[in-house]
Amino acid sequence: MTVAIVGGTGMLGRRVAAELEARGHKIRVLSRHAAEYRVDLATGDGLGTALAGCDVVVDASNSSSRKPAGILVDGSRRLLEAEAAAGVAHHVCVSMVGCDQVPMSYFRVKADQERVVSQGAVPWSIVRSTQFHELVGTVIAAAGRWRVLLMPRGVLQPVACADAARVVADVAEGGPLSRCFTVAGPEVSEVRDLARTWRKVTGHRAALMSMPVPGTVGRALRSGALTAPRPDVRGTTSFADWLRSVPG
Amino acid sequence: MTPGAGRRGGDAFAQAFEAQRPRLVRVAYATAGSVAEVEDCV
Repeated sequence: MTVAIVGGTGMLGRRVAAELEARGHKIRVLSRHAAEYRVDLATGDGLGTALAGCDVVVDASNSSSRKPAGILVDGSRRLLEAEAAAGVAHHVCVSMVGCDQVPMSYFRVKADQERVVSQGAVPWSIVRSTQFHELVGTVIAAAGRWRVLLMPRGVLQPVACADAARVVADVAEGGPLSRCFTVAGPEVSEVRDLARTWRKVTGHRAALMSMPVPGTVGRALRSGALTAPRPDVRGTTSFADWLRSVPG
Repeated sequence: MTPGAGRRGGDAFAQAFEAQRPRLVRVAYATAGSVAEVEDCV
């Protein structure tokens, strides 16, 4: 198959591209930074040319903007329109576990993106993942810079980005599911225990304080809305395994 | 320590915590997956 990976230079996208390439598929890496297939979801520029002749599209794009809807929601509309014109047979959207349950802005935008995909003209699958170890590791390292780990109380079930990428590749290879397919990590962990693991494996010294956070995000963390106790696929790499595998 | 000093100590702790609260909330958002907040934390 010919598979276009939107956001194919990003953390997830480049792993999905490598995985599908290793399985013998033709890959097109679409990104604002790509050499060959330069596209911009904010405008739709480049999509028509990049998608001509593609069978499957994996949307692994993300936005770190304060207003991510322009890329994630409006960008998905532009992408689906170009896919329909190019005759793409399967759109794979990457989303987040709990995005439909947590009334916080980024999650609302992901839920809106899912709605655009599931109501769109192109046959679809949505892969919902929990937080990546890479994200949790970055946040704990940043929070621990002043030797005090001030952590929100709550539970997560993080998964290695590489494990999630394999699942996205599996879904891309299969036909459209017309449903959400979930991937989560091997363990549901208290955030403070993830911070303890980080301290132990990396050898950093920091006092650990765990505090409840008020508001919707605090409730989401405490209620387990960000976990998937019975995911379709469970990644095998634990947070400790992942920490041991990264340099530094 | 007199009761008054203890209360002042408690106030100091409460003030220190209040000063950290925005940071804690940022960390919470970042942990949940908001990339914009991760960039603020790093």
